[in-house]
Amino acid sequence: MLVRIGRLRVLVAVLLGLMICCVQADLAQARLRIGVTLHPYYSFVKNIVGDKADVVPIIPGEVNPHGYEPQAEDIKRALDVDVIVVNGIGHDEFIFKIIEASGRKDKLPLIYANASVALIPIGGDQGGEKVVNPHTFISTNAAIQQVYEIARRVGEIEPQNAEAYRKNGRDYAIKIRQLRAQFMQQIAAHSRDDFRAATMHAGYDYLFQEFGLRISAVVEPRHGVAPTAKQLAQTIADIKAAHVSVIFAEQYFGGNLAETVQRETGVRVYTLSHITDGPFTADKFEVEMRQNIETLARALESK
Amino acid sequence: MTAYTIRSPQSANRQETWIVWILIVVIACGAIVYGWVRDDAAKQAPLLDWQVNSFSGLGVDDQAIHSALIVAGEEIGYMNSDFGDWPSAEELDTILLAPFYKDEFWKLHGSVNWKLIRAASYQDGGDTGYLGTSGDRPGQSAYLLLFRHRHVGAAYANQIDIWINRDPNGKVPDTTKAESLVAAGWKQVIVYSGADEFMRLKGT
Repeated sequence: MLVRIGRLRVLVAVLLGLMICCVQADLAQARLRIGVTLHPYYSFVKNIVGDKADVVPIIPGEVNPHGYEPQAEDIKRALDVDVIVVNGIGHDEFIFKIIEASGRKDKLPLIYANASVALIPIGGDQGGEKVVNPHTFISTNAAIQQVYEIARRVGEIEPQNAEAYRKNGRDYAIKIRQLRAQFMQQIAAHSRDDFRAATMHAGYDYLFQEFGLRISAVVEPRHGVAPTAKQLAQTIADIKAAHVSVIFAEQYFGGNLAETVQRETGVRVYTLSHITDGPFTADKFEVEMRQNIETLARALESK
Repeated sequence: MTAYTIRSPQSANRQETWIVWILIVVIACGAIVYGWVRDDAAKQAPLLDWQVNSFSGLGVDDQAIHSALIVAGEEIGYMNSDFGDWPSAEELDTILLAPFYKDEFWKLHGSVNWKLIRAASYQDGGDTGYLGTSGDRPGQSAYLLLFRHRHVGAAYANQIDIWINRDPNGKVPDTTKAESLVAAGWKQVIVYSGADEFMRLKGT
């Protein structure tokens, strides 16, 4: 009798063990897969979810997202995610083509990182128009707002992790805020009253606004579009008229236009990162924002 | 027997001209209709005369402070949700939260003087308000960040509302109901957000 009870216990233990293994396997399979379109969103999401979910870049890291044309591999990746975090206001138009080609239009949930961000216009003269600047991710404050928004939305998809996502998002926001504070201390000694800057690409209005700097001219006539000879001549005239002393070029793209502007106007050239090239990593946003901030500080110091 | 009509080159030219004109009219009508539909999709709800759009209706300093207040509102809401009370402006300064943090941004945008002027509570409900006055930049406004609709017994307020007063020393009336604020010269800031822009671009 005792032997029989002993065997029964062993059998029950084995069955329980098997059940636990099956449940764990199911849970592993059920891990949320979150697609992202741009490098900063990879960093934001990775910092929010930690190891509780997978973060999947939809397009390769080493391509220019401006005017990117979708590839077959991108469509495959879009088929294998549960949700995609998008900029949605003009900086990742490729994702809508990818989703359509994957046959998941209106079926695949999207998280609009900018849904609650207060948008601002592109600086400089845009022909009298106020044009929305979609580069909300090259910033500190607007980046934090996107982190909050993403954490909230991912938490709605996985309510069991919502509290952890919110906490991680807020911890990450503190890191970004500290980065900003450090820069503010660094530039405190330098006057910005006569600081006149131009940018090659209309990507930095949020960053400049947050640091109390203003953009006097933008060389690109439209987002990602090179100027014609006539437009470039006009911009050079504007730069001279506004007494611009510094121009910020692009780290990853932009060709040799900055050299032309420098030659024609005598401005000093500095390079900023658009944070949209290279490997996708959790700390990419912090690393490249720190570089941007240090570049801004150097430009102010040399004024 | 087949009958042929022979047209003079002149009449053929006239016909082509007519076709070109019809095409021009059709394209022009199409463009007008498209523009009308597109423009309609671009519109937010029309502004009332006591409202101002964050994207197109604010000066540089007001826009910068408004952008910072939106983010600060989220963080303050979380703090209230975690601890139950409302942090003072001084506490917000210590946690580096713009626009309360007295850094270069604060100086460049007018050294605004911030105060927690009312605080909703679990027992009494109500609104919470942070008032920013005495900004010294030309054309700068006064600011009011409100957390609305905290009902008695509710854990937190659920609606952030930002108002400006073109007088940088604008006073807040005894109640923060919209009609009282409007009567005291305040304007509600309507945010132009990413959600609005997505609607404009995609129409959905």
